[in-house]
Amino acid sequence: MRLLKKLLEGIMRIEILLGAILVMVMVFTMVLEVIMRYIFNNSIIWVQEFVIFTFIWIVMLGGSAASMTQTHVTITTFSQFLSDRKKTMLQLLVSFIIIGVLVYLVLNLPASIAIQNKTSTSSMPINIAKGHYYSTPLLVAVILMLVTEFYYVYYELRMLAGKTVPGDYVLELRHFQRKRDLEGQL
Amino acid sequence: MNFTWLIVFIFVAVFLEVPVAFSFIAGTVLYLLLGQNFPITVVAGRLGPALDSFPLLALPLFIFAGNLLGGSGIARRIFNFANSSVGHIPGGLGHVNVLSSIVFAGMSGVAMADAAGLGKIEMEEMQRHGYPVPFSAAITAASATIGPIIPPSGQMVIIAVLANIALDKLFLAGFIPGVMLGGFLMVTIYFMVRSGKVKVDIMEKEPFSVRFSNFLKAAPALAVPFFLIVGLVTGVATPTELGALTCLFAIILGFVYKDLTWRSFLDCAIESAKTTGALGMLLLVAGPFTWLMGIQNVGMQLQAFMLELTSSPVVFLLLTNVVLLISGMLMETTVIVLIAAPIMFPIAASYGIDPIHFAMVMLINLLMGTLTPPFGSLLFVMMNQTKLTLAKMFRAVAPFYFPYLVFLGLITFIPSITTFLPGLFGN
Repeated sequence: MRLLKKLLEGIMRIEILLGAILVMVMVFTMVLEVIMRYIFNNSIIWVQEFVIFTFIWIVMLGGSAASMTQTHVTITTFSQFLSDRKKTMLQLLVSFIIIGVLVYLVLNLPASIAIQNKTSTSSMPINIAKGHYYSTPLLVAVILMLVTEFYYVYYELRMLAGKTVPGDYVLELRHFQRKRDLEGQL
Repeated sequence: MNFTWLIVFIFVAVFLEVPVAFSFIAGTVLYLLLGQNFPITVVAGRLGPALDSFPLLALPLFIFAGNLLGGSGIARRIFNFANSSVGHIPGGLGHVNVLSSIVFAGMSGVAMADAAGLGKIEMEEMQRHGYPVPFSAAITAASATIGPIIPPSGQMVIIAVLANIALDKLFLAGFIPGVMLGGFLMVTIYFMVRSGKVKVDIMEKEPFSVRFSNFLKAAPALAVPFFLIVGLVTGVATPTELGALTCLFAIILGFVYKDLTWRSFLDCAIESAKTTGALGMLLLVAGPFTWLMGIQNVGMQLQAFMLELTSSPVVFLLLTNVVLLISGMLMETTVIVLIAAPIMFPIAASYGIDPIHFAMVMLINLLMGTLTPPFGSLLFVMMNQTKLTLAKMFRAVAPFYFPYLVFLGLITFIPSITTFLPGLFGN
């Protein structure tokens, strides 16, 4: 499990770094488009499809990382009223629901990709089949999320059985983490 | 399975702390499994395409811009400028807090950057000058609600995409209400201090040279909202492109001021990727959910039900206020928007209510909900920071409810407050 933890944290670093690079690429491309349109009077036609593609990847990479750090948008009020043991039971229940959803997606996304692949993007220099454009990034994220959930379920089961669990079992984004004093929201 | 049960299922799952995105997917799949004539593959196939929206791209761009501006020393410059401008009025730093939030709201699309950058400075300064902690926390929480009203606003982007409204018009609609709310909060602070309810020192007015110097230092940052208004009014760029240009402006500003290093630049991009991931996962599930509502004809049924209940737009708006206020007290705003926007906008349209006006009513209701117990999220943010109890925090925020309700009433029943600017420039 320690090896899996290291592996997942390594993947998360790559995901977040890639996501950050894609955010910069997005800004650069759109600024370039505005410059081309107003200064050179020559719009770049592929910008819209390209930036949406980068956006989809940012969401999927960020979404997978959010699973690893357990920071998906969640309303955490109920568990405050529970004992530690009941809290673990609730966590386990939540993990099983998440696994159920992820298994459904792993089983059904390939069929959706096949259907969507019947059309492709139309303006990009190298056109991509729509299935790979929309849903392949999601499939990649879902597989990573599934591995992450199994990792957490292992420790939740250990906790429930009263066995020892390392204090640092929650996956962390080391080296890149910026310290924030306030947790906010949109 | 009835559609009502689907909504109940989602609420129960969210309450049991299943992440919101997974609650929605689980609900829609279960709904199709239990007696609908559609293959469940449909849900998986509708997730990715839900992100195929150009206006939606404004979200990561304004998040990035907000992080760049919030992470640099710009927040401190804005605070100093606000301090020079209104610090001498009774209630001093309370007004500074509100004015800083108004200015910062005009640059940042995400309250997190506001809370992490500006909010921290505001709280530190108020505590350094002996302001009571509950009073400081209440003002910081109340002024944080200005952020999503004044564009750029992440929540406006989400509402515009889900309700199919022109984002530039919605952005324009937010300026007047945002400044108005700031005014309401400042008047409340003034009377609280004047009446002796809160005892704080009154600061001396700074000399003109200091005020002018602080203005000059903050001028490039103050130019951002101006640049946005001009961009929206003239239509030289789409809101999404303006997001990218604001990022560029923030980067140049950061490097010119020497506030931004390559390291902090990368940190901002990382933070933006993380926030975009978490929010994007919510938007992803909006695809199958709204599709399901469409094929089940839920909008039409609710429309007929509401019109049978009342034909008065005023009563409908009052009911909307009650439902959204209560929802805002219990749930995270984005979650409510995900469920309520596709349901409520068609109904509002059948009453002849302008969608821009309705979007602002929805937004302000939900924001007020974040300030109210039992689960108002801004209360919890400030409680975490100040270690105040919920009861103390509630007592501190309570004086701001009355002006907020008056403000909400004005926004609800005088549509021109929100529709004036979009009507003037929106075309």
